[in-house]
Amino acid sequence: MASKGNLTLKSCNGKEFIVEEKVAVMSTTIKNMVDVDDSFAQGVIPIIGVDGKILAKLIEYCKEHAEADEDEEVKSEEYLKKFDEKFVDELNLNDLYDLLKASNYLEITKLLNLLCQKVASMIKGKKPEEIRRIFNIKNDFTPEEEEEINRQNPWAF
Amino acid sequence: MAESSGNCTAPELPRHLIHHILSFLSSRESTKASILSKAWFWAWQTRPELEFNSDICASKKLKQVGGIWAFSLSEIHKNEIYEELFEQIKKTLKPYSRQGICVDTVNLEIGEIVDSQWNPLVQKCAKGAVKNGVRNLHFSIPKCDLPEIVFRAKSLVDLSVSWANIPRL
Repeated sequence: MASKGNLTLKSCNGKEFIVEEKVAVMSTTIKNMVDVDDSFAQGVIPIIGVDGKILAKLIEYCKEHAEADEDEEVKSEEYLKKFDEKFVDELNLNDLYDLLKASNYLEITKLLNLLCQKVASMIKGKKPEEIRRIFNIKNDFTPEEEEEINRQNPWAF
Repeated sequence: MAESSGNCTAPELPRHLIHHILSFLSSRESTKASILSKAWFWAWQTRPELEFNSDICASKKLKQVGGIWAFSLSEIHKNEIYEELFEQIKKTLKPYSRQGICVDTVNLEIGEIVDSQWNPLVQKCAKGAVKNGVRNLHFSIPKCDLPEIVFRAKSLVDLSVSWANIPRL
Protein backbone atom coordinates (compact mmCIF):
# COMPACT_ATOMS: atom_id res chain seq x y z
CA MET A 1 0.00 0.00 0.00
CA ALA A 2 1.21 3.47 -0.81
CA SER A 3 2.15 5.82 2.02
CA LYS A 4 0.23 9.04 2.66
CA GLY A 5 0.35 11.49 -0.22
CA ASN A 6 1.07 8.67 -2.65
CA LEU A 7 -1.26 6.63 -4.82
CA THR A 8 -0.83 3.19 -6.30
CA LEU A 9 -1.77 2.80 -9.97
CA LYS A 10 -2.11 -0.65 -11.47
CA SER A 11 -1.84 -1.25 -15.21
CA CYS A 12 -4.05 -3.72 -17.04
CA ASN A 13 -1.18 -6.22 -17.13
CA GLY A 14 -0.70 -6.05 -13.38
CA LYS A 15 2.23 -3.64 -13.04
CA GLU A 16 1.99 -1.37 -10.03
CA PHE A 17 3.36 2.13 -9.80
CA ILE A 18 3.52 4.21 -6.65
CA VAL A 19 3.22 7.86 -7.56
CA GLU A 20 2.76 11.12 -5.69
CA GLU A 21 -0.86 12.21 -5.57
CA LYS A 22 -0.10 15.55 -7.27
CA VAL A 23 1.32 13.58 -10.21
CA ALA A 24 -1.60 11.15 -10.45
CA VAL A 25 -4.27 13.83 -10.27
CA MET A 26 -2.95 15.48 -13.43
CA SER A 27 -5.42 12.94 -14.79
CA THR A 28 -8.93 14.30 -14.28
CA THR A 29 -10.29 10.75 -14.35
CA ILE A 30 -8.05 9.69 -11.44
CA LYS A 31 -8.75 12.95 -9.61
CA ASN A 32 -12.49 12.29 -9.81
CA MET A 33 -12.03 8.71 -8.59
CA VAL A 34 -10.01 9.82 -5.59
CA ASP A 35 -12.35 12.72 -4.81
CA VAL A 36 -15.46 10.58 -4.90
CA ASP A 37 -14.22 7.42 -3.24
CA ASP A 38 -11.67 7.57 -0.46
CA SER A 39 -10.87 3.87 -0.75
CA PHE A 40 -9.07 4.56 -4.02
CA ALA A 41 -6.74 6.94 -2.22
CA GLN A 42 -5.72 4.18 0.18
CA GLY A 43 -5.88 1.15 -2.07
CA VAL A 44 -4.91 0.38 -5.62
CA ILE A 45 -6.35 2.30 -8.57
CA PRO A 46 -6.83 0.03 -11.57
CA ILE A 47 -6.06 1.76 -14.87
CA ILE A 48 -8.22 -0.21 -17.26
CA GLY A 49 -6.97 -0.77 -20.78
CA VAL A 50 -3.54 0.81 -20.23
CA ASP A 51 -0.51 -1.47 -20.06
CA GLY A 52 2.59 -1.00 -17.93
CA LYS A 53 4.74 0.45 -20.67
CA ILE A 54 2.23 3.16 -21.56
CA LEU A 55 1.38 3.87 -17.93
CA ALA A 56 5.10 4.40 -17.21
CA LYS A 57 5.23 6.94 -20.08
CA LEU A 58 2.15 8.72 -18.76
CA ILE A 59 3.65 8.93 -15.29
CA GLU A 60 6.93 10.24 -16.71
CA TYR A 61 5.04 13.04 -18.46
CA CYS A 62 2.79 13.89 -15.51
CA LYS A 63 5.72 13.93 -13.10
CA GLU A 64 7.60 16.56 -15.09
CA HIS A 65 4.52 18.72 -15.50
CA ALA A 66 3.32 18.40 -11.92
CA GLU A 67 6.76 19.43 -10.67
CA ALA A 68 6.84 22.35 -13.08
CA ASP A 69 3.41 23.51 -11.94
CA GLU A 70 4.69 23.50 -8.38
CA ASP A 71 7.98 25.24 -8.91
CA GLU A 72 8.52 27.21 -12.07
CA GLU A 73 12.10 28.02 -11.19
CA VAL A 74 13.29 24.44 -11.10
CA LYS A 75 11.49 23.51 -14.31
CA SER A 76 11.09 26.52 -16.55
CA GLU A 77 8.77 26.84 -19.49
CA GLU A 78 11.74 26.45 -21.75
CA TYR A 79 12.73 23.21 -20.03
CA LEU A 80 9.17 21.83 -20.33
CA LYS A 81 8.99 22.71 -24.00
CA LYS A 82 12.18 20.77 -24.65
CA PHE A 83 10.94 17.88 -22.53
CA ASP A 84 7.65 17.78 -24.49
CA GLU A 85 9.44 17.82 -27.83
CA LYS A 86 11.75 15.00 -26.85
CA PHE A 87 8.87 13.07 -25.31
CA VAL A 88 6.82 12.99 -28.51
CA ASP A 89 9.80 12.59 -30.85
CA GLU A 90 10.85 9.35 -29.23
CA LEU A 91 7.49 7.64 -29.67
CA ASN A 92 6.87 5.02 -32.31
CA LEU A 93 3.49 4.89 -34.00
CA ASN A 94 1.95 2.24 -31.73
CA ASP A 95 3.02 4.06 -28.59
CA LEU A 96 1.78 7.37 -30.00
CA TYR A 97 -1.65 5.87 -30.65
CA ASP A 98 -1.79 4.06 -27.31
CA LEU A 99 -0.80 7.24 -25.48
CA LEU A 100 -3.42 9.21 -27.38
CA LYS A 101 -6.12 6.79 -26.33
CA ALA A 102 -4.86 6.55 -22.75
CA SER A 103 -4.52 10.31 -22.26
CA ASN A 104 -8.03 10.69 -23.64
CA TYR A 105 -9.46 8.06 -21.30
CA LEU A 106 -7.57 9.43 -18.31
CA GLU A 107 -8.35 13.02 -19.31
CA ILE A 108 -4.81 14.35 -19.24
CA THR A 109 -5.73 17.30 -21.41
CA LYS A 110 -2.29 18.86 -21.76
CA LEU A 111 -0.80 15.60 -22.97
CA LEU A 112 -3.75 14.85 -25.24
CA ASN A 113 -3.33 18.23 -26.91
CA LEU A 114 0.42 17.75 -27.21
CA LEU A 115 -0.05 14.38 -28.93
CA CYS A 116 -2.79 15.62 -31.27
CA GLN A 117 -0.62 18.55 -32.18
CA LYS A 118 2.22 16.15 -32.92
CA VAL A 119 0.02 14.11 -35.28
CA ALA A 120 -1.20 17.33 -36.92
CA SER A 121 2.38 18.53 -37.44
CA MET A 122 3.22 15.20 -39.09
CA ILE A 123 0.29 15.65 -41.48
CA LYS A 124 0.99 19.24 -42.48
CA GLY A 125 2.42 19.79 -45.92
CA LYS A 126 2.42 16.13 -46.90
CA LYS A 127 0.62 14.33 -49.70
CA PRO A 128 -2.19 11.91 -48.71
CA GLU A 129 -0.15 8.93 -49.91
CA GLU A 130 2.74 9.92 -47.70
CA ILE A 131 0.50 10.47 -44.66
CA ARG A 132 -1.13 7.07 -45.15
CA ARG A 133 2.28 5.43 -45.23
CA ILE A 134 3.48 7.18 -42.06
CA PHE A 135 0.35 6.37 -40.10
CA ASN A 136 -0.41 3.00 -41.62
CA ILE A 137 -3.82 4.22 -42.78
CA LYS A 138 -5.60 1.97 -45.23
CA ASN A 139 -7.30 3.84 -48.06
CA ASP A 140 -10.77 2.26 -47.97
CA PHE A 141 -12.33 4.53 -50.60
CA THR A 142 -13.22 3.23 -54.02
CA PRO A 143 -11.53 5.22 -56.83
CA GLU A 144 -14.97 6.73 -57.61
CA GLU A 145 -15.46 7.90 -54.03
CA GLU A 146 -11.99 9.38 -53.93
CA GLU A 147 -12.60 11.23 -57.15
CA GLU A 148 -15.89 12.59 -55.80
CA ILE A 149 -14.18 14.03 -52.69
CA ASN A 150 -11.45 15.54 -54.85
CA ARG A 151 -14.09 17.08 -57.07
CA GLN A 152 -15.97 18.62 -54.16
CA ASN A 153 -12.99 20.42 -52.69
CA PRO A 154 -10.54 20.92 -55.54
CA TRP A 155 -9.01 23.98 -53.85
CA ALA A 156 -7.56 21.84 -51.06
CA PHE A 157 -5.75 19.29 -53.17
CA MET B 1 9.38 10.24 -34.58
CA ALA B 2 11.06 6.92 -33.91
CA GLU B 3 10.58 4.15 -36.43
CA SER B 4 7.69 1.78 -35.90
CA SER B 5 8.99 -1.45 -34.41
CA GLY B 6 8.37 -3.59 -37.47
CA ASN B 7 4.75 -4.07 -36.52
CA CYS B 8 2.43 -5.02 -39.34
CA THR B 9 -0.90 -4.42 -37.61
CA ALA B 10 -2.35 -1.05 -38.54
CA PRO B 11 -3.44 0.68 -35.34
CA GLU B 12 -6.55 2.77 -35.66
CA LEU B 13 -7.63 5.90 -33.92
CA PRO B 14 -11.15 6.35 -32.62
CA ARG B 15 -13.12 8.90 -34.57
CA HIS B 16 -13.37 11.46 -31.78
CA LEU B 17 -9.58 11.56 -31.54
CA ILE B 18 -9.26 12.14 -35.28
CA HIS B 19 -11.74 14.95 -34.69
CA HIS B 20 -9.49 16.47 -32.06
CA ILE B 21 -6.45 16.16 -34.35
CA LEU B 22 -8.32 17.99 -37.12
CA SER B 23 -8.81 20.93 -34.75
CA PHE B 24 -5.04 21.51 -34.90
CA LEU B 25 -5.05 21.74 -38.70
CA SER B 26 -5.95 24.63 -40.95
CA SER B 27 -9.14 24.40 -42.95
CA ARG B 28 -7.17 23.45 -46.04
CA GLU B 29 -5.00 20.87 -44.31
CA SER B 30 -7.97 19.22 -42.61
CA THR B 31 -9.82 19.02 -45.92
CA LYS B 32 -6.75 17.37 -47.39
CA ALA B 33 -6.76 14.87 -44.52
CA SER B 34 -10.38 13.96 -45.27
CA ILE B 35 -9.21 11.89 -48.20
CA LEU B 36 -7.02 9.60 -46.09
CA SER B 37 -9.74 7.07 -45.28
CA LYS B 38 -13.43 6.80 -44.47
CA ALA B 39 -12.79 7.27 -40.75
CA TRP B 40 -10.97 10.55 -41.45
CA PHE B 41 -13.67 11.63 -43.87
CA TRP B 42 -16.43 10.98 -41.32
CA ALA B 43 -14.56 12.92 -38.65
CA TRP B 44 -13.88 15.74 -41.09
CA GLN B 45 -17.57 16.05 -41.94
CA THR B 46 -18.15 17.37 -38.45
CA ARG B 47 -14.78 19.10 -38.02
CA PRO B 48 -14.66 21.73 -35.28
CA GLU B 49 -13.76 24.67 -37.51
CA LEU B 50 -15.60 25.76 -40.62
CA GLU B 51 -14.54 28.30 -43.14
CA PHE B 52 -16.76 29.81 -45.78
CA ASN B 53 -14.76 32.13 -47.92
CA SER B 54 -15.92 33.79 -51.10
CA ASP B 55 -12.34 34.56 -52.10
CA ILE B 56 -11.57 30.85 -52.32
CA CYS B 57 -14.62 30.35 -54.56
CA ALA B 58 -13.62 33.42 -56.57
CA SER B 59 -10.07 32.23 -57.17
CA LYS B 60 -11.49 28.88 -58.23
CA LYS B 61 -13.74 30.68 -60.66
CA LEU B 62 -10.87 32.84 -61.92
CA LYS B 63 -8.87 29.72 -62.63
CA GLN B 64 -11.78 28.39 -64.70
CA VAL B 65 -12.34 31.58 -66.67
CA GLY B 66 -8.70 32.65 -66.81
CA GLY B 67 -8.65 36.00 -65.00
CA ILE B 68 -6.50 37.48 -62.26
CA TRP B 69 -8.61 39.89 -60.21
CA ALA B 70 -11.87 39.05 -58.47
CA PHE B 71 -13.41 42.43 -59.36
CA SER B 72 -13.06 41.65 -63.03
CA LEU B 73 -15.51 38.75 -62.73
CA SER B 74 -18.79 39.25 -64.53
CA GLU B 75 -22.18 39.29 -62.81
CA ILE B 76 -22.84 35.79 -64.13
CA HIS B 77 -19.69 34.48 -62.49
CA LYS B 78 -20.50 36.28 -59.25
CA ASN B 79 -23.91 34.65 -59.27
CA GLU B 80 -22.29 31.29 -59.77
CA ILE B 81 -19.93 31.88 -56.85
CA TYR B 82 -22.88 32.92 -54.74
CA GLU B 83 -24.78 29.77 -55.59
CA GLU B 84 -21.77 27.55 -55.00
CA LEU B 85 -21.13 29.07 -51.60
CA PHE B 86 -24.80 28.81 -50.70
CA GLU B 87 -24.79 25.15 -51.67
CA GLN B 88 -21.54 24.57 -49.76
CA ILE B 89 -22.93 26.10 -46.56
CA LYS B 90 -26.09 24.03 -46.78
CA LYS B 91 -24.21 20.81 -47.45
CA THR B 92 -21.52 21.43 -44.85
CA LEU B 93 -23.90 22.11 -41.98
CA LYS B 94 -26.12 19.10 -42.65
CA PRO B 95 -23.98 16.41 -40.92
CA TYR B 96 -23.79 18.53 -37.76
CA SER B 97 -27.58 18.81 -37.50
CA ARG B 98 -28.02 15.16 -38.34
CA GLN B 99 -25.55 13.93 -35.75
CA GLY B 100 -26.32 16.62 -33.18
CA ILE B 101 -22.72 17.84 -33.10
CA CYS B 102 -21.86 21.46 -32.28
CA VAL B 103 -19.72 23.57 -34.57
CA ASP B 104 -16.90 25.09 -32.59
CA THR B 105 -15.84 27.86 -34.94
CA VAL B 106 -17.29 29.39 -38.06
CA ASN B 107 -15.33 31.84 -40.18
CA LEU B 108 -17.47 33.60 -42.72
CA GLU B 109 -15.49 35.82 -45.03
CA ILE B 110 -16.92 37.42 -48.10
CA GLY B 111 -14.69 39.67 -50.12
CA GLU B 112 -15.28 42.68 -52.31
CA ILE B 113 -17.59 40.93 -54.74
CA VAL B 114 -20.49 41.25 -52.33
CA ASP B 115 -23.72 43.16 -52.91
CA SER B 116 -27.13 43.13 -51.27
CA GLN B 117 -28.22 39.95 -53.02
CA TRP B 118 -25.78 38.12 -50.73
CA ASN B 119 -27.87 38.95 -47.68
CA PRO B 120 -29.95 35.74 -47.67
CA LEU B 121 -26.74 33.71 -47.80
CA VAL B 122 -25.30 35.58 -44.86
CA GLN B 123 -28.55 35.09 -42.94
CA LYS B 124 -28.59 31.41 -43.80
CA CYS B 125 -25.01 30.88 -42.67
CA ALA B 126 -25.53 32.77 -39.40
CA LYS B 127 -28.71 30.85 -38.70
CA GLY B 128 -27.03 27.52 -39.46
CA ALA B 129 -24.08 28.35 -37.23
CA VAL B 130 -26.30 29.45 -34.34
CA LYS B 131 -28.60 26.45 -34.70
CA ASN B 132 -25.59 24.17 -34.49
CA GLY B 133 -24.33 25.72 -31.27
CA VAL B 134 -21.42 27.75 -32.62
CA ARG B 135 -18.98 28.94 -29.94
CA ASN B 136 -16.74 31.21 -31.98
CA LEU B 137 -17.98 33.24 -34.89
CA HIS B 138 -15.82 35.33 -37.12
CA PHE B 139 -17.81 37.52 -39.41
CA SER B 140 -16.07 39.54 -42.07
CA ILE B 141 -18.36 40.95 -44.74
CA PRO B 142 -18.06 44.50 -45.99
CA LYS B 143 -21.15 46.68 -45.61
CA CYS B 144 -23.33 43.79 -44.53
CA ASP B 145 -25.56 43.90 -41.45
CA LEU B 146 -24.64 41.44 -38.74
CA PRO B 147 -27.68 39.13 -38.59
CA GLU B 148 -29.76 39.64 -35.46
CA ILE B 149 -29.92 35.93 -34.74
CA VAL B 150 -26.27 36.17 -33.65
CA PHE B 151 -27.34 38.21 -30.62
CA ARG B 152 -29.68 35.45 -29.53
CA ALA B 153 -27.05 32.71 -29.75
CA LYS B 154 -26.74 31.18 -26.29
CA SER B 155 -23.73 29.07 -27.22
CA LEU B 156 -21.63 31.97 -28.48
CA VAL B 157 -18.45 32.65 -26.50
CA ASP B 158 -16.46 34.74 -28.92
CA LEU B 159 -17.68 36.98 -31.71
CA SER B 160 -15.45 38.99 -33.96
CA VAL B 161 -16.82 41.29 -36.61
CA SER B 162 -14.87 43.13 -39.24
CA TRP B 163 -16.05 45.39 -42.04
CA ALA B 164 -19.71 44.64 -41.28
CA ASN B 165 -22.38 46.89 -39.77
CA ILE B 166 -23.55 46.17 -36.27
CA PRO B 167 -27.27 47.02 -36.16
CA ARG B 168 -28.81 49.00 -33.32
CA LEU B 169 -30.96 46.73 -31.27
